[in-house]
Amino acid sequence: MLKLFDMNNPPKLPLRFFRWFCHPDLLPGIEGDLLELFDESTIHHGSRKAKWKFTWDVLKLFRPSIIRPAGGTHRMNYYGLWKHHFKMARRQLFRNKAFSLISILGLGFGFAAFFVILQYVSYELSFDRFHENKNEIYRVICFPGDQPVSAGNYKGLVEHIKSNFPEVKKATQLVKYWSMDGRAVRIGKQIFYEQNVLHVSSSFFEVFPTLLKSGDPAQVLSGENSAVITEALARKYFDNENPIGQTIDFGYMGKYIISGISIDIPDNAHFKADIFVIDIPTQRNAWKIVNGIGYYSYITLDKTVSVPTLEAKLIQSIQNLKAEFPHLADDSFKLQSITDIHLHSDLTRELGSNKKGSTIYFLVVIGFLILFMAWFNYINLSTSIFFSRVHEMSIRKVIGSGKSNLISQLFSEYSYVLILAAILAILLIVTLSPFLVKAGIIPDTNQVYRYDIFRAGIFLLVVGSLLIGLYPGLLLSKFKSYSVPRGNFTRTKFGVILRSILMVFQFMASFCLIVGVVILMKQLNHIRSADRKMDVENVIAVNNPIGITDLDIRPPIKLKNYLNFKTKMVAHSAIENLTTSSDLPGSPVNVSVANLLKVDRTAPDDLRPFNIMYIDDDFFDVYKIPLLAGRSYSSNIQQDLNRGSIILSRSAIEHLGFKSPRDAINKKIHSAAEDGYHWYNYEIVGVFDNYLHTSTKTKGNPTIMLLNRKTDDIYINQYFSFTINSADQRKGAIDHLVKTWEAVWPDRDLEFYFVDELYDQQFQNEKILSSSFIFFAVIAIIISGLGLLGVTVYEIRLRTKEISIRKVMGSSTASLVRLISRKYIGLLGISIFIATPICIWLSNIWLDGYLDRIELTPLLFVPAVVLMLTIVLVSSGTSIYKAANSNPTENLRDE
Amino acid sequence: MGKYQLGEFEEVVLLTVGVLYGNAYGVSIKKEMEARLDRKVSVGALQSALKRLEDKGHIVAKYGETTTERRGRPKRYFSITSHGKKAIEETRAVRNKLYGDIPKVAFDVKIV
Repeated sequence: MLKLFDMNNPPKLPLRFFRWFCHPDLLPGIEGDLLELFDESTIHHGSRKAKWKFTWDVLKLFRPSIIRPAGGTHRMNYYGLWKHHFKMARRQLFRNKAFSLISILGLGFGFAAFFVILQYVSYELSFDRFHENKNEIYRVICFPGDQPVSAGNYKGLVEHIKSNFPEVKKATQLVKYWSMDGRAVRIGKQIFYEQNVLHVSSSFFEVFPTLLKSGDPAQVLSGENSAVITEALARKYFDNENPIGQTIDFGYMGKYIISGISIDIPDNAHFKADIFVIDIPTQRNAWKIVNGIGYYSYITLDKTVSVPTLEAKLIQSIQNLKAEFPHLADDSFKLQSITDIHLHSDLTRELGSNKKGSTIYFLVVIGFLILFMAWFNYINLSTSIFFSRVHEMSIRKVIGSGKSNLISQLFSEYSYVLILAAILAILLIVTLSPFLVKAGIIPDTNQVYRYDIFRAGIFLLVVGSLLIGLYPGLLLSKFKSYSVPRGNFTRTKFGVILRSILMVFQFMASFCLIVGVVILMKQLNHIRSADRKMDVENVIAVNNPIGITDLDIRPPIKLKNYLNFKTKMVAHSAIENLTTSSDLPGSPVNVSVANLLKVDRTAPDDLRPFNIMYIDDDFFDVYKIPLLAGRSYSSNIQQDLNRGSIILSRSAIEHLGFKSPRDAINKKIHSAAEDGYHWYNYEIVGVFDNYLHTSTKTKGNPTIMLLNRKTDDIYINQYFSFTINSADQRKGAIDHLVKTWEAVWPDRDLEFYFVDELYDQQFQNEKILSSSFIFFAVIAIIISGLGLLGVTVYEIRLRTKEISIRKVMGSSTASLVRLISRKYIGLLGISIFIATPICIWLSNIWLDGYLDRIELTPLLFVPAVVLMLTIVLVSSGTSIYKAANSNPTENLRDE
Repeated sequence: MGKYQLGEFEEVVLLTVGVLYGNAYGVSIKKEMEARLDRKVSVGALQSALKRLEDKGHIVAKYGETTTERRGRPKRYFSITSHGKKAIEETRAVRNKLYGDIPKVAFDVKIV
C-alpha cells in the first residue's frame, strides 16, 4: 500500500480530454490499460517520459472508432428521429389550430411589415451614396441673418472659394431656372419640353465624376456652349445616332453642342437632371440674389481637411468683403455633406423633395417594434400553451429524451410555423406592394438600395426568428418532470412575469402607434384647415397658351386675345370672374427680391426678401383675399397701368414700418433698379391681408402684387384662374372652358388644374406618413390582438375547472368575465401609464418640426385608450365568455 | 472468404486474443504482440482494431472485477466467438490453399 503514496499521477489535461472523447463503453477498460502502462513506464523510464508517452497514447486513441458518437451514445444518424419530429410537428400544427394560426398570422404580418420598412428605409438612406467620392463632396449653404435659408445662394461664392482656399480640390455651382413645366428644346425640327435643365459651371463633372458616362470630366464642359445629356435622353432624341456633336436649340438662350453623355440620374439623387448646359457666370451681381435665383455651390475636399475650420475661415473671408457689400455682414456659412442633404436639410428651394430624417428614424423604430411584437407574440403563445404539452414532454423525458432531443423536436414544430409565416409574408408583400407603392410607402422599383442595411436587416430577421424558436424548447426541456404531477409548473413566477412583461410591451407599442396616428392626422388637419384668408374651393386655373418656357421659341399672346377669352368665359352663368396671375396658391412664388424696397432711398439696404407676384384687376375677387385698406388695381386708372401703383401685404407694410394698413395708403415707396442707380417710385394703393399662399409648413415672405401689363401687345401671365359658383356646376364650366379654348386658341393644348387639389399637394409628405402610420398601426394592432387572444384562450383552458367550480358555486357570467379580464385590463393600464410619457416625448420631437403645430391635449389620447380597451375586452372577453357559458358538468366530468 | 474479411493487423490481434485465452485484455494483448512480433503496438491502434473486431462480432468483451492494481479500473477481457473462430479458420484455409498452389519452381533461388 505504501506504493500508492509515491505514485506518480498521469497528466491531468490529456486524461480529461480522453475521458471527454472516449466512447463510454470503452472508457473504463482503456483508461485502466493506459494507467497500467503509465505506471509501468514510470518505473522503467521515469515520470517525465511516462507522462509524454501517456499524452501521446491518448492522442493516438483519438480516432473514429474510439470517439463517442455526437449527441447520443448509440447511433450516429438521426434520420428516423427527425422524420418522427417532423411528423409530430405536422400533427401538432393541426391539433392546435388556433395556436398555429395565430402564430403564423402574427409572424407573417410582422415579417411583411418589417420587410417593407426595411426596403423603404434602405432607399431613403441611400440618397447620393452612389457618388464614388461621396465622402468628399460638400454643399456650401448660407445663413443670411434671420432670413429663411435657401439652399441656393450667391453666384460669386464658388469663385471666391476657388481663389481663396487652396485646400478645396474642386468647386462648382449649378443653377436651375424655375418653371413648372419645363423648357422648350428644339432638336432638329422636333420640340421637346424638358423639366430638368441644369446650368452648371465647367468643373461640374470634376466634382461629380460618377455622373459622367463618356467624356473627360475636366474637358467635357470646357467649350463655350457645351452640353451633356443623359443616356435616356440621347436615346430619345437621336435613337442610335451618335449624340456627340449634335445641337440642342434652346431658342433665345442659345444653341448648345453635346459634348458628353451622363448616366441617367438615379432616383436616389437629391437633384434630378436630364440636360447639363455650361453656364459661365459673369461676376455681375455676384453677391446679390437676383430674382430669387440662387446658385447651388458644391465643393470637394480631401478627407484630411477639417470642415469646421474651413467653415470658420470661409465666414471670416466673407466678412472681409463687407466694406463693399454690407449685407454680407450677418451671413454665416456651413458645409453640408452631400449624403446628409436628403434627410437633414430642410431649406427653401431645395432641388428635390427632401425628407425629414426624424420621420425615417421613427419608421425604423416602428419596424423594430412590430418585429419584436411578432416575436414576443410567439414566445407568449408558446409559453402559455406549455400546460397542454407538459404531460407529453414529461413522458418523453421519462422514456429517455435528452434536452437536445426536446429542443430539436420543438424547433421542428416551430420551423413549420416559420416557413408558413414566411410564405404568408411573401404573399402579403406581393399583394400589398402595388398599394404601398401608390401610397408612396415603398419606392416604385425592384432595385435594392443600400445592400449593407438590407442585408443587416434580413440577417437580424432570420437569426432573431431562429433564436425565438429555440426559446420554448429551452424552457420546456428545463422543467423537472416530477413537478408536473404536482401541477405547479405553469404557474412558475418566472413564466407569469415574463408573459406580463411581453404583453405590456405589445400594448405599449400598439398604444403609441395609435396615438401617433391620431396626432399625425390632427396635425395634418390642422395645417390643412388653417385660416388661409383666401378661398381656393371651386377655383380652376388654366395655363397660358404660350407659357413662359414657350416664350423662348414663340411670341406671346396679345392682350386682346386674352380679353376675348375672358369675355367669352364669364358669359357662362356658372363662371363668376376670371383673373390672371404669375403664380398659383399652393406652389412657391417664383420671383422674390431682396433689399430693393425702401421708404427712404437713403436708408441702408434691407435684407428681407419680398415675393413678387404679377396679377390683374380681379385677382383679389377670384381668390377672395380681403383688402384691409385701399383698392385693387384697375385698368381704367392710368397710374396703375404705368406701374406707378403698388399693392402690398400686411406683413410687407409692417416690415416697412407703417403703423397700420390705412396709414400706408397713398404713401410713396421706392425700389432700386437692377443696375443700382435708377429708382422705381410707387404709390401704395392697397393693402391685403397675409393670406397663406403656401401652407403654414413654410414661413411666408412679405408679398408685393404688381399689375401685369407692360404694353398692350403682350400678355404673359402664366395662369388664368376663374371661380365657379358651386361645385355641381363644375362639369358645365369645364365643358364651356373647352369650347371657348377651342374657339380662341385652337392650335394650343388646354391644360388646367383644380387649385384646391394643387394646394393639397403640399401635404403629400404628411399624407404618405399618415397612411404608412395607419398601415403599420393596423398591423401592430392585429398582432397584439392576436397575441392576446391566443394567451387568453390558453389561460382559460388552464382555468376551465376553476371557472366551472366558480359557476357551480353561483358565479354569474358577468362576474367571471370581470374576474379574468381584470388582469389584462390591469396590464393595459400599466402599459398606458408607461407609454404616455414616451408618446408625448416623441410627438413633441416630431411636431416641433412644424411652424404651426398643434398642442398635445389629453383628448388626443382618448381614442387610443378606448381602442385598446375595446381590443382587450373583445379578444379576452370572447373566450372567457365562451368558457363561462359552457356547461360545468362537461368540464368537471373527468375528475 | 468474403464473409470474414480480416486485415493483417486485425488477424494478428484476433489470433493473440485466442493465444491469451482467458487473460486477453488491452495491456496483455499489447505485450504479447510486441513480444511475439517484435514490433511496437500503440494503444490507439490496438483499441480501434479491437473495437472493429468487436463490431464485426469476432470477439466479445466483458468487464472483469475491479482490482487495486490498475488504480481501481476494471480490465476489459476479450474472448473469441465462434464467428471469430470461423474467421480464423477460413483465413488460414485460404492462406494454406494459396501456399499449396504456389509451383515449387517459384521458390528456387536463382542466381543470375
